[in-house]
Amino acid sequence: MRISQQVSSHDERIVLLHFEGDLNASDCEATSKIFQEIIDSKKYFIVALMENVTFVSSPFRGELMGCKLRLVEKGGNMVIVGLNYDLRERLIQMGADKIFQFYPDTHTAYNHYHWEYTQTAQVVSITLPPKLQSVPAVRRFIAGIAKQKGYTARDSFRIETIVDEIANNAIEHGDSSQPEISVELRIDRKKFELLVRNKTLMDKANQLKYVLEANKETAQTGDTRGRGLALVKLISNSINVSIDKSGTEVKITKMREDS
Amino acid sequence: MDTQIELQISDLDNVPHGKLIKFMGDLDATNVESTLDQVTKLIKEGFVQIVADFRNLRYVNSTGLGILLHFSKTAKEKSGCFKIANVNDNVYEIIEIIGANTLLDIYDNVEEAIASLQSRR
Repeated sequence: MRISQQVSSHDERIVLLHFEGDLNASDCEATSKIFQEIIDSKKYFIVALMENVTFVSSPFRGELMGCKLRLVEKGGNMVIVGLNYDLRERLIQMGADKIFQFYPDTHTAYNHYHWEYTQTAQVVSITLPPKLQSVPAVRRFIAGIAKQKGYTARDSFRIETIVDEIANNAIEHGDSSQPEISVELRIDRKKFELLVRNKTLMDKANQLKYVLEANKETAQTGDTRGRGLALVKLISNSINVSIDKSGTEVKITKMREDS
Repeated sequence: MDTQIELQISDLDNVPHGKLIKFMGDLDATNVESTLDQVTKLIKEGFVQIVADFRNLRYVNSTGLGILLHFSKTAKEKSGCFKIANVNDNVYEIIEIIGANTLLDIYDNVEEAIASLQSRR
């Protein structure tokens, strides 16, 4: 085995560990020592680069698990990058995928790091024509992003509902001459935020505020608009509406279910 | 493009004035009108004992819920009923949150919904 380390040029909190050759039981002690030195230097995020690894023994796998545990106890993590297909499949068969995340390249590993540990939000902006027919594709697209980002199926469905109801409202009750509706999604590991901006006539905007402030929360109401907004209120964590001459902005925040 | 929804309508054996409607797809603002037209036509023709099978209904929004409540009310006004079966967990949650579970007749499966119609006779 050969092992070398360098601090990532992408983020100095990350250490890249290059492994090469066969990883045998006899390599455990040296590896453990290197991990301890890295932890002592107060760096707790390690990307293990294994594209040139040819074999991983069971004792070495156990050693890596122990090293990962030491990092996790410090609030950090270790992920594995570039392991060849056969070795990865063998490790997965032994249940190692329950312990380690495997990534094809460092770029993907860095994305994972930012998503999990730096609370970096990802932003998607969409403009859509003010037609109800444009909403289904947008709501499914946004729900798909949430699912892909690890939100539960229930959360994704609720997010789809929020997008649908708010976008439909913006179209149905907006200024009929508005050229487009703007939808902005900000999503991070802990929360989902949706911003919908549109042009609304002032009297309709005031009606919207009234519906939001009124405590309409049941199906008994005959007002379709009230029912949709009541639903959004109940499945989100906060809803704010701001109205000015340029239009109406509705901001919805929903916390991730399992965070 | 409208969201796809398909209604498959068939007779209900041993239930006079009965129809089974299978909902397939998403029920939302783009297709409530066509759904409303099809089911209202059935009710006007006298088919007021209706079982709606939601096994393949993936999504419903507040507008869709609104017409389900309308079907239930209209069928009851004509001494019939509109029963729903096989609702998926996500759709059921939306129905429950909005409070419509107390207004709609919901069954675990189609067989139970049909049996309840037969026991009414």
